[in-house]
Amino acid sequence: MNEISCTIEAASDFIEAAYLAAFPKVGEAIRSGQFKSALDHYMRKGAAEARLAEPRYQKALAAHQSIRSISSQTSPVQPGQIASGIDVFLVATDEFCCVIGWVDDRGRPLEAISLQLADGGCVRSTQIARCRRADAEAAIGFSFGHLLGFWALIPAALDMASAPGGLIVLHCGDTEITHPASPKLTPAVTLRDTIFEYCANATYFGSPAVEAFIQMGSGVGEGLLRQNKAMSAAICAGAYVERHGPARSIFAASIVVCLYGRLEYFFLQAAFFSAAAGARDYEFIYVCNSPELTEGLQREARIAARQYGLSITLIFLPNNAGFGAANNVAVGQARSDRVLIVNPDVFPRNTQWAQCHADILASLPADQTMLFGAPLFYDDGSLMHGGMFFEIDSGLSVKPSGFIHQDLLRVEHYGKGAPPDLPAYQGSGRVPAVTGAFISADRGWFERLGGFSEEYVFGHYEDADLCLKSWQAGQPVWRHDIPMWHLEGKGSVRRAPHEGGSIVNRWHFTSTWLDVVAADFCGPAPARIYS
Amino acid sequence: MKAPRGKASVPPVAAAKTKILLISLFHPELVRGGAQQIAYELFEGLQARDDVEPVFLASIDNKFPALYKSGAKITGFDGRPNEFLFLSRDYDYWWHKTSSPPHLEALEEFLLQIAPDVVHVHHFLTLGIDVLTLIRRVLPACRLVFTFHEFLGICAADGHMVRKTDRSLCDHASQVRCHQCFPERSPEQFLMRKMWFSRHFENVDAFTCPGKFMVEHFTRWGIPRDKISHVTNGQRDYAVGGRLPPASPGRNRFGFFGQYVDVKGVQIILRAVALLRAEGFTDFAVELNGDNLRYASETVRHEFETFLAAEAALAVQDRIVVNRGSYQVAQLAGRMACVDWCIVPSIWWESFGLVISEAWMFGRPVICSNVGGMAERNRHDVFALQFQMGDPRALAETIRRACSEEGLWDRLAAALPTPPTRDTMVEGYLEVYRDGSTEAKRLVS
Repeated sequence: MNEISCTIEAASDFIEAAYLAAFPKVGEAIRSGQFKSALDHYMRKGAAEARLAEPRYQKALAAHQSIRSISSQTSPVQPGQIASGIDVFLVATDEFCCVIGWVDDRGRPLEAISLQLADGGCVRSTQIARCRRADAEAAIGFSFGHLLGFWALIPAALDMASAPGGLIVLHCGDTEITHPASPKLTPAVTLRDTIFEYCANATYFGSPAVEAFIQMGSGVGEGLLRQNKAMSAAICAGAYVERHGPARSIFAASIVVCLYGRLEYFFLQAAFFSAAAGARDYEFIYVCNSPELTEGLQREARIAARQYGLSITLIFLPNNAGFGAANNVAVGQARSDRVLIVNPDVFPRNTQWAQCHADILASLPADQTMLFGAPLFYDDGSLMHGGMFFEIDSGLSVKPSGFIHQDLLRVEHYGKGAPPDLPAYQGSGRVPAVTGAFISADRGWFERLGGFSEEYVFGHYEDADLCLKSWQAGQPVWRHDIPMWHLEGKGSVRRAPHEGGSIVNRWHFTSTWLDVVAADFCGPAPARIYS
Repeated sequence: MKAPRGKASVPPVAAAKTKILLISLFHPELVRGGAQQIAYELFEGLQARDDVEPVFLASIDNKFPALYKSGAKITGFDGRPNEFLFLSRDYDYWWHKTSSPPHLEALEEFLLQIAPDVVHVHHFLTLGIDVLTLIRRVLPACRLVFTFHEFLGICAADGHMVRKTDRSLCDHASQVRCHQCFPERSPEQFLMRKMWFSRHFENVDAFTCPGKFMVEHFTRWGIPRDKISHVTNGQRDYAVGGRLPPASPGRNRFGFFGQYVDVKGVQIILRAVALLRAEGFTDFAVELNGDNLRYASETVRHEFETFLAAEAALAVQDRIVVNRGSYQVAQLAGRMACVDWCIVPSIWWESFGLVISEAWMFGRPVICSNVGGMAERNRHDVFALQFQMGDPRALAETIRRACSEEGLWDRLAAALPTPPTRDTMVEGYLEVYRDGSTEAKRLVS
């Protein structure tokens, strides 16, 4: 693992990876440029706050040390041999496994990793991503520019419990380096989160964004998406549904909300949405990606149904299936032909939202309402979202051998931070995309598009993906005036694995849509809409 | 906020009497406090009338486990007719809501059984602000009245509207200002807090507050001006009409009555005493009557205890301050008889100040902070003395003047107003109940 050992005596138990895992906001602060590193944060802020004494840090440290204790299965290096080490061999039974380690493969590049099992079986993977390993660099007397670290995804169901032992083999050119396989059995979601957290914390030589893209493109990205989708499907298969409040066979529309990590938005939305005349013509479907919220959510649904007379469907998932898959499950439970995908931190700005929505559907041509969004506002009254557009970033990574160029798609919001009454963002208009924080869609059209693409990890980009699918299938995306508050980023908790998921998602979104965006949707005034 | 709703005809619950349900936080005989004291005074005042039938529902919390009957959510109280306890639990002190569905279901059933024509809510703490929405849904035709006893609807800082940053008075809430008081909470949370409270206040037909100045705070916050009015607090006359003679020839004995918590400002008195003593002015006495030091901040508690310990170490003749501790209403006459002046040094707005009325009952001019309900009720140099809020030196100078100025006490005491009576308060609330209520309007005729 990449880590910086703090040199000051008072913080001898400072471990960068554990610190970042325990305090995800530190990672955000580093990315935003407020701090140079986790250590910088600790020395300037964390030490005064005694963060190393906090239980969450201690927990992260323990987890880290557990990995490190396995890690030092470094083979003794003889002259002419290749130095290497296995940090951890994580096995999710019946799912997949992952090997994290490092290898000094300068001159003899690591090409594959295989598992030679005790029962004679063998699996091999070339889905290998590389990253920097500061500790290994220090150990071997580092040479600049070479990524020593690796992590590999091995899509194989291994029964390590009944057939323990075996070997991990690193294939470096014609050299094979063997390590004893000491598997650590773990739930699939824990393995997933570990990988994405590792992804989030990985460092490289050159541009992190470009280098991460290169690593994802090595095959590991595809593997991650496949595994994530399979895992989401398995989680969704375990959905439990219960309904509260008045029962009806059909509603004017179904408001679908995906909850993650925070309960209070449930009763706040129930209170605020129910204030509108006509709100009871809508049903509310909450799909919960946080099983720990189950009891509280049941309790609050019982209260909300009684206090506000709302029809509420709760869908509990046994784990985090991600935004797209969870919403797709919820749409499947809808008792209407119109679905409103709404984030938990979105609230109506007035009590006319239901009538306003009904009027839009009744008065506008169908092709303007198949899929539309709404203007969203920050708590300070300024505009947060007036639709979305796409930019192509020209990524450049500087390497000793030259430059590596990579185009990266970026999604931006029209009018972010603008005064609320700017004419450009008033009224109806076609836009390249709208945020998944609020989407009103014809249910049939949503389902014909396949709903949200479920490859995206946790949540990010599937809204833009849905909109581009709609454009490609012949239905434009619109923005209509149903003003909503959006407390962006406050509706759920964000953890380190989510950052890793975002890296993978951006790579996947770019891989999928770069050509389409470049041709038709690039910039705030794209050719497809304004030509 | 919505305009007052149209009223359906009131169901024929009783042939003659209008049923009024008073909902209060805490029962004043279990937990002392101004809001519950006034709610209960109102209940007793309404009981004395033959045209209304009041019912009193007071919440309690888990500080009274013996009163929690197994499985019950609402029970009677001590065998008294028309008095009930709401056995609160799972209360969310940030969003001010009850998180227990069975409690809300029990409350709904209770409302249907009582079927009041008027529901008058005194505070929401331990009950939940969202019970207003429940009441409106269950009793769509009832007249729903809400009395603000402080500013908890506006201000998350215990409803005091005192800035946690520098202890200055706050005159309005905003996302950023409130975030400054609670840096651990984002500005967005305060938008939601306001929306949450507004959502439930929308169900109320009429708001009242005991201080006129409070009307401005609440209208600025968003309560429609035509829905909020001032109704004075009123109490029965504890002095039974008899004002006490001065306690001392020198009119130099001062009393504090109330809670020993930060916002009540008892520490300002101690600092003023220290200043006067340092100046060599010691011919006066201060008696502290109150309790709840445990709820004071660590700083104020330490200051209080240190001061009194030092005081106790002095020779008896050198002591100025004595702590007489808590008291019941029945002891008030005896405590008031020992002082000439009543100091009300609160460092928050003080919505009304029941102690001011009590001082008047016994003929004691008030020396008070020059803000909020204290300033509103006490005319400086006419029948009271005001000093700069939170300033010990200003209080010290006022104490010195009170002790020194010939004829001052007699002049002020002679001009003391009669405190608002319980009957005055009852009439005030009946006016509010009548306004818009078909059934209650019958009372006018």
